[in-house]
Amino acid sequence: MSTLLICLVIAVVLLCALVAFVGRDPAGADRGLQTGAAFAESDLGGLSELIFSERDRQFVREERSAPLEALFVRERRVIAAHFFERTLLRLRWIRAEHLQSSRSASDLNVLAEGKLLVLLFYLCCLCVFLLLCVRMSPWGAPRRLALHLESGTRRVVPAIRFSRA
Amino acid sequence: MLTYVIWWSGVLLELILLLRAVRGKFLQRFPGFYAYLCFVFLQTVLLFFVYRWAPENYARIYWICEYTDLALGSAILFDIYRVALRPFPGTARVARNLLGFVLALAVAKVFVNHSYGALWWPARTFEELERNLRIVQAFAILALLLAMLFYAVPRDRHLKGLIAGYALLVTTSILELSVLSYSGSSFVRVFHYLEPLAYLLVLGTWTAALWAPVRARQPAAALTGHASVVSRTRRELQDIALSLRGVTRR
Repeated sequence: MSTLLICLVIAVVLLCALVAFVGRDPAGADRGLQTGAAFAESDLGGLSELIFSERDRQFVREERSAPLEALFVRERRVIAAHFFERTLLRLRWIRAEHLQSSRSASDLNVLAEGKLLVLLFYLCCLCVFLLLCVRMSPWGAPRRLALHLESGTRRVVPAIRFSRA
Repeated sequence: MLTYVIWWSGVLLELILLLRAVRGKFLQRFPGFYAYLCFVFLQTVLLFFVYRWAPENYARIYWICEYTDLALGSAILFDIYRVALRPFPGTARVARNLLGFVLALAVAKVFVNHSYGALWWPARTFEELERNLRIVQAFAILALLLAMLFYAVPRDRHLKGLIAGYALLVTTSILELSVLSYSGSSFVRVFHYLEPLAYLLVLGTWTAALWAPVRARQPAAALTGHASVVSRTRRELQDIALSLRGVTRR
């Protein structure tokens, strides 16, 4: 029975890959690449400055108003979600551009390529995770949300070291 | 009667495909595929005459033809690899490594089975052996498909049809043979009709895809300097990683 199930899974996976292969248009991916290029041109740093601005937080704290603080958290969540969405788009654009350059490279190093793709995948997963955290987290205070996000992104540090190797 | 109809429909479609290839000059583009098709055409005619006039030899000849067919079928994969990936040496290298990995896994599986005291031959029956070999082929197709999908390799109608037909053939074979191994003799009668019907579907796919010629794509110039591409991408990823860290450190 287990062999039958394994065979069934293999057949389904192969058929899914086939549907994607026959259906997806690489020219469409190129158009997406152009859209991504426009995003990559824009400044993400400016947006990230806004999310947890110490000056804004200080102001809200001094006001000692619960509705204002709730409004502040809601607003910063929207900005943070937008930031992660744009980062994801930029990551996709980097991936597409990298793959387009390396597919014609006759001296492609498979190991370096593999490591880079793993890092890309890791960063994409991290972005999705952070996006989900921002959208669905039950935390009320901005500080707690920030601490939670920081614990999530702490793992980026080894990723940077890995990419420098 | 139905068996004969299915049989002769297959022969007719194979003949149409071969004639169309000669007329459209596709033979040079996919020599492996047309060699395979020629073999299958001759095999179908031979098996028909054996079935009709010497049924006692049918099973033996069937399995000999089936394994030859299986080995020749790999030529289709080679054709797809050659035609689709010739303009993209980087993707071709990744695909070669993936295919090598699949082959190494298959060999490792045989050795592991052997070390556990199982049969050195990876199956007990002809059906099981064919199913196992088809599974290896399925993984090889999957590796090729993934490499082409991931690197957004452009594909024309011929390539799409060729790979779709072959993947369908392998998938239906795996499903039929695994159900046959599981359910035993109760499935044999169904298998008798199902296998040629699935093959007709595959031939239909190939005929539709290879009916008209496609304009050959101009191969792009091969580039060097993959190391600089990798370091540029790394720099961009570092920027993103730092900006992600920066957001949460504030």
